[in-house]
Amino acid sequence: MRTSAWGIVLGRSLLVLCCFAPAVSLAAPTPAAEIGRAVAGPHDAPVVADVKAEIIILHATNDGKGIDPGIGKMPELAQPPFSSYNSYKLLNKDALKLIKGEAKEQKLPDGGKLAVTFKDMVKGKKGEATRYMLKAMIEKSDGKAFLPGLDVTARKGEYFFIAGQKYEKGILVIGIKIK
Amino acid sequence: MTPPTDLELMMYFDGELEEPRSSEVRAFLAPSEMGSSSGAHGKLGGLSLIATLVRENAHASAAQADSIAGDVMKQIDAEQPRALKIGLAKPKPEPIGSRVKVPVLVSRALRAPAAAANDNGRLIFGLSALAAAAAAVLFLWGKNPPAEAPTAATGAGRAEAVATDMPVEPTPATSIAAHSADSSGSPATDAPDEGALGEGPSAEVASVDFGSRAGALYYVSGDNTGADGRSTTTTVVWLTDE
Repeated sequence: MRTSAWGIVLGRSLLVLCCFAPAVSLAAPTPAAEIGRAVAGPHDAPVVADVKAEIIILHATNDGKGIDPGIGKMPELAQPPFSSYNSYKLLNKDALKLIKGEAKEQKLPDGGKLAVTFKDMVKGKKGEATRYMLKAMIEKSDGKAFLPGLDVTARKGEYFFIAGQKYEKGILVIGIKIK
Repeated sequence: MTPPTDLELMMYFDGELEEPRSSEVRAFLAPSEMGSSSGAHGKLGGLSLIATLVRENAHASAAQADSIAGDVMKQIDAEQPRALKIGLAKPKPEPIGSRVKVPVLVSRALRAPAAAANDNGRLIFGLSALAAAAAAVLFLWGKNPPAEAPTAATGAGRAEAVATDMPVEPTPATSIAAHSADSSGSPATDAPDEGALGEGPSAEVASVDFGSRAGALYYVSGDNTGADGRSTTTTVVWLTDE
């Protein structure tokens, strides 16, 4: 009788434990959640009000002229998907000061505009450098959105590209880099 | 008058001889004819003796027969508690001699299976242990998610599609991870495996909205190096412009 009572008590205790364990598990911060916080958490990195960015605008064509020396060392242009064009000409290269939370606009050769916003600075993952949360939008000359929205966390000193906008028998390739 | 045969004498003795032969035999055995019927009298006396002996023996046997039922019942009583003892899980050693205790044992024997069927504690214990194991697995799984990749927060009207309009078909040799989306939205952006593609992409795409166009994400790894001299993977967002 006593054994049975203890069995019931033990069983119910375990049942309660089982009910709460998943909840505790869900409530406890998982590595993913921690990563999310690290990426999104503004307090994990020094507060920065502005950053310098470099924006290059290339014109990709298949006119056989090769890669413009002014572009500098950019080996990825020889690889897909860039290799679908055999010529890259530097159209523009600008340094911008991106103030946190403010969209900085850059005129594009086709009359459209690129808007880049520095959103925040976040601590990188293990052993990684700080990353920068950026938002980019491209509008065509007629005011229609070409790229309505792109949110990235970019590494300092490395380009990321937005390409595909038609321009004079080729396309525009836009590179953005935090300096 | 013909003397009665032995069979007739037996029947007469038993009262089974019918008239008029019964009267003739009775007359034959009358005292006046003692001399002629002395043999018959001797036979009748023998019959009477045998009848007495048989009757006494029968009584004795009948007396033993009366106790048969009692013996059987005693035997049953002796066997029953032994069987109940086997049926009980761990019965206390109790004397089984008297009949009065048998019902007690019977009631215990009847209670035993009911107790087992009602043993919810064991059932709950088993289920709880199972659930605890499942919870532990969930807990550990939650603590150790698979290799994390940036998730793309997608806006309304997002869907997946093949980037048929993309300028190149990426091949494995180029170490490109291409991710496409249809004209109405952005895909999930799985970052390339950092082990396979150097130090990770130059930019992790958190979300991308291709709007009404088709687009794709490419991660181009190569011998290009970043600012700190490490090999890098370049992130490319490629859209079609029709």
